[in-house]
Amino acid sequence: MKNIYESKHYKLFILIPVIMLLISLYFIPHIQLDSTLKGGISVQLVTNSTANVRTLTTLVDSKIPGAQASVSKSPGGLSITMAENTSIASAETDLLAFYSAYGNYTSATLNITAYQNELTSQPTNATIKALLTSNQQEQLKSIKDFNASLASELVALRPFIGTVSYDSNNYVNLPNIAKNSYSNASLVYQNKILATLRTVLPFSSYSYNEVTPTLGAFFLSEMINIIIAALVLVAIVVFVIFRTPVPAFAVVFGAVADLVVALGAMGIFGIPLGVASVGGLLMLIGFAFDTDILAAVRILKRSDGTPEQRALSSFKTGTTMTITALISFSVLFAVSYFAFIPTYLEISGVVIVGLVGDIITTWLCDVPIVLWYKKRKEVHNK
Amino acid sequence: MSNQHSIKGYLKDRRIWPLIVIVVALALLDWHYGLHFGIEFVGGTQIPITLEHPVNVTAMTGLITALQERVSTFGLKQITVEGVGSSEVYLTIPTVSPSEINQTIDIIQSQGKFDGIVNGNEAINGSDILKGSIGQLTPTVSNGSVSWTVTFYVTNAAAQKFEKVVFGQSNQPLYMFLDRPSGVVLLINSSQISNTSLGITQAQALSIMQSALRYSNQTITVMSVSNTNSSIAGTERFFAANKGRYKQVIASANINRTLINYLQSNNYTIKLESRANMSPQYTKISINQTIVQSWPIVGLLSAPLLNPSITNGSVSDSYEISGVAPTTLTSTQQRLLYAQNQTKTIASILNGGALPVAIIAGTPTTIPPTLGSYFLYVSGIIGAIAIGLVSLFIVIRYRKIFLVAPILITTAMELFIIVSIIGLVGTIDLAAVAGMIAVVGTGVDAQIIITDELLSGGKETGSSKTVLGNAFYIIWADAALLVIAMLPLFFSTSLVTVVGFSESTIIGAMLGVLITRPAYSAILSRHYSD
Repeated sequence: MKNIYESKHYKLFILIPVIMLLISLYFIPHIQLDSTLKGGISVQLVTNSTANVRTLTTLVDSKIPGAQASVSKSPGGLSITMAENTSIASAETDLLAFYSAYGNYTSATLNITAYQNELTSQPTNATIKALLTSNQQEQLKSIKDFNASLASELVALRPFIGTVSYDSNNYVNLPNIAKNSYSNASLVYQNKILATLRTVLPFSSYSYNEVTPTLGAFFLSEMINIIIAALVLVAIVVFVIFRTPVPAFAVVFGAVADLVVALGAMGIFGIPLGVASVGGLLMLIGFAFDTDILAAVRILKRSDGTPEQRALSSFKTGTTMTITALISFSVLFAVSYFAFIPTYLEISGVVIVGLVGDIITTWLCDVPIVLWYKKRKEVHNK
Repeated sequence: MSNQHSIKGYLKDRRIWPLIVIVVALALLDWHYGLHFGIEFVGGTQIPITLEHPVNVTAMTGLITALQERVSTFGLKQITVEGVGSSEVYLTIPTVSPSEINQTIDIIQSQGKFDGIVNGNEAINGSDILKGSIGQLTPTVSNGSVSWTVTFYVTNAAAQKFEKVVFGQSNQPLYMFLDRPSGVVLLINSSQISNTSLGITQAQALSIMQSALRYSNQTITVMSVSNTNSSIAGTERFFAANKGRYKQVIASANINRTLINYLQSNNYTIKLESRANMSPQYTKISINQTIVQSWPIVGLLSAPLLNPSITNGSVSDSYEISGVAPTTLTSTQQRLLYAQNQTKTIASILNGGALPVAIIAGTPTTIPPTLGSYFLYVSGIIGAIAIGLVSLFIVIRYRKIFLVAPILITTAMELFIIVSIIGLVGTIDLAAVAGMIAVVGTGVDAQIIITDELLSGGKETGSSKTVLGNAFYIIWADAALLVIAMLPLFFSTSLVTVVGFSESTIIGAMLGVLITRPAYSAILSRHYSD
């Protein structure tokens, strides 16, 4: 095998990963979030129906308006994911707004009682009077707010549970009405979906999972925090290991590039991003460093042969490592694709595209940088 | 040399035997305790619960404890409650029956009704208390005596009512009920009534109970019944005379069978209770007065005494309930604990037994057991194929059949250790299994580094020890970075469904460095030292 690192133009290799990075950056916004991050419903059915996936998708879409269904089939059954019902989603927002206004109402009421109490002992205290007035205004405003939120929630839920009549002056009872109406409507909607699916195809048992958009958004932000925290921690340790900025920077850059490439590829190939993907992304951060450190340590710290020969030997070891990892994740991906296990798909999909990207970034970007650094140091030492 | 090659030689190597000892020990533990699988593999239901507003860590812990207590008092077993971030809780139950799921949701959402009764009149009830105004003060210690205090505000109208009811009732009990039943008669076997330790006669006990259960037209009637014919006939006459007034009878378990038959034929609901449940807990509050302190069967949970300063006609909308831990508790520690529990109990009664924050139950996720066992089966197949293909690749790459055995053995042992640790201490879920498959890949990575160093590098640098030193430096760095990258997920309290992945990979990385890789290199270096 010809040693590519002995080429005069080895520095130009960097262009390939850079172009790949730019393409990936462009496609990252196209990533599809699955129901665990976007909010939505996923139903898994155990069925031996032989119905065609495309027909099913059209059927579900026509029977459940706004479902944007996607159906995947496996020998064991079917998985259908669909968007959260917009009425229920907006009712959830109203419910949370109701709770927040009701909380303001309670604290204003408490303050009013406390200030009225204080006023009986010092009736002329202007500060307390002012505080009392502002709290009374706050109380009135929050009563208006929570009544408005409740009304809007009930309007949104009307298609599912009909009109709910209640006494809007019985404040104590309102939280229960708000809460129960929402729970009842969700249940009605779930039954409606299952009943609709039953008319389309027979199934023996099912698994129904719903994530509200608010919770999905929270999971997404947590996921981003966790990945940033992992990157920062790992970068610190890498700098401690190398104690020299250039190779350390190359290694950390390689890891970030892997993440970007993985995310970009998910956008291109339509691999959905879900909560479970966070495992795959962190794995990728850990993996990215494996081969990078191997190459950097061999090129910088050992003395047998030329740096170019050591780069090639680490390339052989490194790709063997990456390929074994690719094999085990591809098995996870392929089998769970047929058996349909979304958690496995989300984790392995991310890692597979990321590892392919890792081969390119490590051997065409990081290693040339480290090699260039080593050669420059050798020239300086002479 | 030749004995180095024997099995004995391998077993004696201190890089190999710890692995064998650990595997055997874990196998015994697995066999004894069994492994714990998540609902993805055994079937079950997960109910997401949204909190009214985000809470801090302390409040979250309190809520989880409260939910656990609530489900356990209702006899629901094997329910796990898990916090997710600051505004969500997951409740997991090992059942897919819709009725049991609904029952669980009802139980966690139920809220009790609080009644405070003084001298047979309602002084205060749950809706009089301003929501969110109940404060629990930290118990105070002075000279070894520990006092506790709970404060709350009531509405203006309630304050007026309270003042009228408690007027002149200084040092009398405020009977605090949670979900006080109505339309109930208590039939106590006469042999179970008197309390010799407090020196109360049967007649005195009956009158003490009656005064605690008196409440305008909803009085709970207490009757003493013996096994004599006249007593039974008298009781039957009472029920005949009060037809339609009562619905439920709570009776001592050893009450006469004839009477039970009579009540059943008259359509009363009958609950038979043990002696312990039918006996209230008494407190002597003065030389000649004893009161009922608590009696859970009728919802009477506490009976603090009214302070003279609030029974003299003054109106106030802020109140406190306070007391001193009994001196019968010997250490200050015990008294503090008592005071803390008392504060919590009183606050929870005033709240109607409410949770510290309002909750909304979401749509349950159910996984049928058949689907679960299918997932488990598929996961097993994935693991087997992955190990097989990876070994095959290594053999092709190095063209050495000998490598298969050590790679297969160390990888299989490593997976066994991870499965055992997670299954014994935590829960094996889908994410954890995905992590194990990842370990099949990463584990082999380190073995490749060792193999490469031993097979090629060895010739140039000489001694196999220095070569292994090089390899271990790289492997240590790799493992450390993988563990560090996984730590934020490992400690995450929000992405709980994926935490298993980090558990598997972290255990895998640490095992690799500490145990399986040294064992693998021992096998290899022994083989090549010939």
